[in-house]
Amino acid sequence: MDKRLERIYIPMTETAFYILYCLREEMHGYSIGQKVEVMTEGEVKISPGTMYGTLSKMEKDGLICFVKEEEKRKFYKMTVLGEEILQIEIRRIERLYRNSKGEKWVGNGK
Amino acid sequence: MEMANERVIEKQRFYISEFEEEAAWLSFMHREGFRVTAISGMKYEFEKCDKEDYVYQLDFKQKAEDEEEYIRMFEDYGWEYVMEYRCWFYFRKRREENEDMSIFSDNESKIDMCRRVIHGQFLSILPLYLIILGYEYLMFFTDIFRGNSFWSGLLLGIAVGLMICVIFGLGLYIGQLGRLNQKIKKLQQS
Repeated sequence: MDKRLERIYIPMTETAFYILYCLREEMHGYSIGQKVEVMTEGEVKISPGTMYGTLSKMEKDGLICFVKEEEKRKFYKMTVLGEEILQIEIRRIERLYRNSKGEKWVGNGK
Repeated sequence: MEMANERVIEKQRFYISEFEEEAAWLSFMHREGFRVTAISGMKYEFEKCDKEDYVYQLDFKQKAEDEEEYIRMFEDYGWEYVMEYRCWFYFRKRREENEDMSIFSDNESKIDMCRRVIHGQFLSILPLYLIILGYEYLMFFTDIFRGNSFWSGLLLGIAVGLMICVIFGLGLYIGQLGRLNQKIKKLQQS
């Protein structure tokens, strides 16, 4: 794992996390935004400038890749590298959650 | 029969760090019944329209190859694309209650935009400055343009003029960089 990427993406902003998470499936910017609103019952809204900026940055860093274009909409998907980073972040959030509940965190030897 | 829309030209000066002020001013003009149609330097061209509450937002983007897809995403979100002027993209949207009226939903992406502006503006004026500096060098440190003719006098005059412009321009530029950096710091702290 590239240390530079870890520094940039971990911890992740809520916006970045949801965008990356949604891109386990092929999606375009606006549809990601819609899905995140549903997932969070409207609490996390991602505006277009933020969406475009995040997608561009993640594509440049190789976390996601461009898949196809339909009606001028660019579809993206998460890469293996993106999955790796997402898993590191999920692990971090899980640890945070467990500790906040006063449960014992077992690092699974990783 | 010709039905020309009434056009109005307004002069207004906004520096690169004042994109929020510019957006607010365009919103104000729209509420007064004038929507912007073109920009050229300090000149803003408006056409008469209904007095409506529209929010304007500016985004800075240099990469040109995916412009259509970029605009398409904003349109998906309900933003109307107005125009592009010197890498600045202008969007507007009718103000709605309970709706987020910013094109940036978190501070990180706002900071990213300020950084893009700093890099973009710096790189765009760099070649011009290098050319001027080269000219100044030839003028003052070599004999190439030396002489007593009218032309060498003129060249010297231009060199001095450009030098003043460079100093003034650099001052302005550094001032704007400072403003943008302040903006970034404020966003980082909030």
